[in-house]
Amino acid sequence: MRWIITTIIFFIFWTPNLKAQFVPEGSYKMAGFLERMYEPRKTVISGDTLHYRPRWVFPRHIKVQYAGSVGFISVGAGYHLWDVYEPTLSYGLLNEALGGSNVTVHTISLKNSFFLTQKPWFDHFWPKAGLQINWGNTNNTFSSLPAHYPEKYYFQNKVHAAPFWGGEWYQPLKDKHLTGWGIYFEFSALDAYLLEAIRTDYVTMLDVWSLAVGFTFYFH
Amino acid sequence: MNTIHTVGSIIAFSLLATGCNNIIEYSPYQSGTGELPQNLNEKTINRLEQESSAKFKSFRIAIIGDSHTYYDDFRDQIKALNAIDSIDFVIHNGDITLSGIHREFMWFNDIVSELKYPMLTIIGNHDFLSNGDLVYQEMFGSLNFTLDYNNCRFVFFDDIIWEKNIEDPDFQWLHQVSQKNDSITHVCVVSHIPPWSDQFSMGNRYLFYKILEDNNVKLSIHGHTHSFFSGYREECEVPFLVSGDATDREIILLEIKQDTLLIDRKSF
Repeated sequence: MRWIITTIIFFIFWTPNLKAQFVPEGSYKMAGFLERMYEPRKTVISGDTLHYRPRWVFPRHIKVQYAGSVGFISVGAGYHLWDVYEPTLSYGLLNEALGGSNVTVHTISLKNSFFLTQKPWFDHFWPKAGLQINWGNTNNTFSSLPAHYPEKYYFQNKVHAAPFWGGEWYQPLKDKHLTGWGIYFEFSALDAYLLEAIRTDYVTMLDVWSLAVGFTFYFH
Repeated sequence: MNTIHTVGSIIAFSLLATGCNNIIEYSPYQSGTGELPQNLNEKTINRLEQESSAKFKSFRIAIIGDSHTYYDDFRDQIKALNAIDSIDFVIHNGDITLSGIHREFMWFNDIVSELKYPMLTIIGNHDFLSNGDLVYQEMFGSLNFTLDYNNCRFVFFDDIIWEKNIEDPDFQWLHQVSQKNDSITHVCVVSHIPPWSDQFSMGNRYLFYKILEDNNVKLSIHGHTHSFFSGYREECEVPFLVSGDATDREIILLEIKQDTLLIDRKSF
């Protein structure tokens, strides 16, 4: 735990104070396949002409994350939309080898992240918050009850919502594939934990958080 | 960003990161990751069997159950138990969690760590959800087990059915360990679900009653229904005792004497 905090504080205070920028800088030559993806294409569907660029569907970033209630490690890809919204779809794994659990848990997570400021703090640090939706697949989790239960016997326990907040230290890169990379942390709280924090005095708001740390790599 | 924001953010982050419990969580469904104590029931049995008398000696136990996530009431229940003198041990009738997730087991453990008496628990249907059965076995040990104390036998019987995708309880084991030889004064059975509940098929219900009767079980103790019951069911000659949940804010005290069992309810 201590090394995680130390690493984050180190990055905040000691990284050179370069100007951060999330949009592609455009001055550095892109890899050929990326340039080709920016070229406009058109196709005809049922008599209608559709103009598009392949780059629109190619992910804007990939993330590699440790912990955060979505597995020992998770990897995902996502987009940057309307300047403030950054959705990422991830797959997380927890098993004996990765996390030391005696049971395997597969988690699909949709992280809906929003930028909280128009400019980064310290020229690099972007505060973010949002809501992630986690689908956990393991034993005795279900989104609808198996047939042998009476109706409404249990509430579904496969899908959990988890509000989160955190931030990312972004560093631009001069690279033909990447515009930059970032190291981030997030504190998320599962809906089930938040419910207990609201419903009981015993569970406090300090008991519900789960810390995730990870890296993001941004493509041109 | 101004200085106040900067300093405030760093302090807030540091406090949160260092002040939170269980802050690194891989999954709410994790099991065997080492944060929980292990084999609590087995350790309690070893302790009680060492303190046990070879011949029958009257004793008193406390019975609670279905604490789920009623943490405030449950914490008060543990305080109320500590305020009672002369309890030999406490039985929790199961459903120590709501969803069987890892953090609920941690919260349960945190609360019962304040209890000054030894406690034994039996698994409940809610504890079986979301890998909860694996977490439970890591934390408490076997799902079926017995305790011989002061020449009485307590049979703790896992009778969860639906959460095992409709698997019959191990009635053969129940019959085997409930057999009362002349040297045992009383046999009591403890299981989470009473046999008249919907989970039991007619055949399973009859078999459960038959095992209780054939082995002259003195009392069959359960939880699950969230309401207190003490007495007989029409179909069975063995008396039943069912505990309510933590919100009932009461403790059942069972006085075990040579010739009888006395049930008392203590509110807090």
